[in-house]
Amino acid sequence: MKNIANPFLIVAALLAALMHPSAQADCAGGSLIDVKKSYASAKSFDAQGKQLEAFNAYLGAQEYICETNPYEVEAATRAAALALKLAPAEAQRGNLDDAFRIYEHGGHYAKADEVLMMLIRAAPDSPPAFEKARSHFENRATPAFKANDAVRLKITGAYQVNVKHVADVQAMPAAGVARALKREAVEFNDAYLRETVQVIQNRTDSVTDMAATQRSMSTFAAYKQKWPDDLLKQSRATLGTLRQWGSVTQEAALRNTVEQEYARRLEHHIDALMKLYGGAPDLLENAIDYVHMLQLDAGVSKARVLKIRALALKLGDEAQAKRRFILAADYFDVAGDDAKRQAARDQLNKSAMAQVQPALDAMQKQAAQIQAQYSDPAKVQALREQAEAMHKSFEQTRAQQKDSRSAAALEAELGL
Amino acid sequence: MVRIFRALAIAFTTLAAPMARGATLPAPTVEYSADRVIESEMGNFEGKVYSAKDKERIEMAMKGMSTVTITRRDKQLGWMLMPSHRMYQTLDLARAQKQSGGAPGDEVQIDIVAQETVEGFASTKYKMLMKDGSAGGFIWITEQGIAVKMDMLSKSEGKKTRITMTLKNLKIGPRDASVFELPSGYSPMPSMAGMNGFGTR
Repeated sequence: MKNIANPFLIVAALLAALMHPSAQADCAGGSLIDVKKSYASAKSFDAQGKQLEAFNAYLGAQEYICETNPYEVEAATRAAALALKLAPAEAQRGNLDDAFRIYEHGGHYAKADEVLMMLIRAAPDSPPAFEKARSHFENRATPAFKANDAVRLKITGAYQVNVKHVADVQAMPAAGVARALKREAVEFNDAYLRETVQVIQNRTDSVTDMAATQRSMSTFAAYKQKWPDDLLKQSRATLGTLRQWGSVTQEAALRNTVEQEYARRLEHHIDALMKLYGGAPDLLENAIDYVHMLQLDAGVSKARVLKIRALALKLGDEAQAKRRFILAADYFDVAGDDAKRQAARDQLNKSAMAQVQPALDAMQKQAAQIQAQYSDPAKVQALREQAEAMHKSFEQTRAQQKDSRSAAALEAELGL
Repeated sequence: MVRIFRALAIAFTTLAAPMARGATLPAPTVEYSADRVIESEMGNFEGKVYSAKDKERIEMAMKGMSTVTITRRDKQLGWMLMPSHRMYQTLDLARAQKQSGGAPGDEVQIDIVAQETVEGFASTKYKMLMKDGSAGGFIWITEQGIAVKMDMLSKSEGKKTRITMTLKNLKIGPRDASVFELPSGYSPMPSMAGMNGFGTR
């Protein structure tokens, strides 16, 4: 039997190839049909006054295709014109990212550079921003830039990289490192740490000593007012930034300085927190966080952390011995000793109940008395007036009595 | 000292439930409010009283701390309010009466002795004597049944104590019903386990 399907398949394949002339094996570009559609859309939007939509569609019409793009020049020309209207408006609204994008794709490269520098100057402590700027200007210097953007450069005019921009970008890591070091020195603040320890150490465990509780609360309120932020958290964030600068800079000397200073500060902070500020369990927890930032080998890091946990355990035992149960529980929490932490909390509850019980007993007794007395409305009235009268007796003298008649006179009148 | 208050208490109670032998003390037939002044050898105490049928509110203030007692005979209960703590205690009047024994009027002899004007109001003067001779006094009650004045004497262990109560600025007319209600935002006083009853609930 003859196979009659094959000739049809061959014809279909040929037709498909004819309908998609851009589908060539060695070309990854778009199709003429697509850019044609984009251009038509752009013209339509343009006619309707929809400038941003038109601009974006003109960009689509400039797409690289595997043959000469017949729409590229016209689309680029119109996009360049629209960019000069759209980008300043975005910049004025504070949308610098959009302004940059529009200038850049509109072929106004010098203006795009200006906006990029505005963005960079607004983020002087951002290593990622630096990397973006460095990459941007490196690309500007490559032959590919001139080749790929030849059409747009021809429309918008000659372009030269502003050397001052490049210099400013290149100076960012050193300046960023200097600022980070200065800022971090302030954030790891001895006064803050000292007062943190004081607040924690002065915290009362008593639930019945209202004066001590009030003092603790006042002290804590003043402390939070003076130090509203977690400075050690900020310190770690800044050290993280410092390390990022070290990784993005191309200056070896700066990179070495950063690595040394990063490690030195972490070691200093761990040491200080353990030796000077161990009075606050939370500060020992922070010491552990700093150890993790050293990014040591797992075994070494674990040993360092265990050393801190051992210190917390020792201080917890001492606090427990002094019946500072809240403090002890916090230390045991840092030490990772759940059993001891629970035991301290149980002791705390027991101690609290012991402190409160006499007051509860007294209240219960008083309540019983009040209830017994108040069970009779007549007695209620009488006792209230009796109590009020007794109180009043301390404030008023008998001379204030308005009724001049004596009890004896009334007695006689009543015949009692 | 306790007896004089007992006598006063009986007088108040008798006003609320006129069951005395001889004469009976009329209950108020109108709503009113007044400033209440209590005079005794220990000093003078001022407060405010509101009254309506089967309802009474007494406000007292001492050293800036006020207490309010609302009695609702229509509901057989009362509330002791402590405004400074925004707390209250409920009083069970029925149970209290049961626990306090027989009617107070059983112990008191009451007689009308005169017609007098007190604080600008024509009043009937009643004489009250505890049958055991331990206390007694006079009470002036207006035509509307308002006890506008009391003058009471108590004798105990050889000591005689006199106390008077006078209503001033008496205003007769409907009172705002809300003054006799438990105000919103008040919490009950914490009751202790096993202490329920005894007139509270």
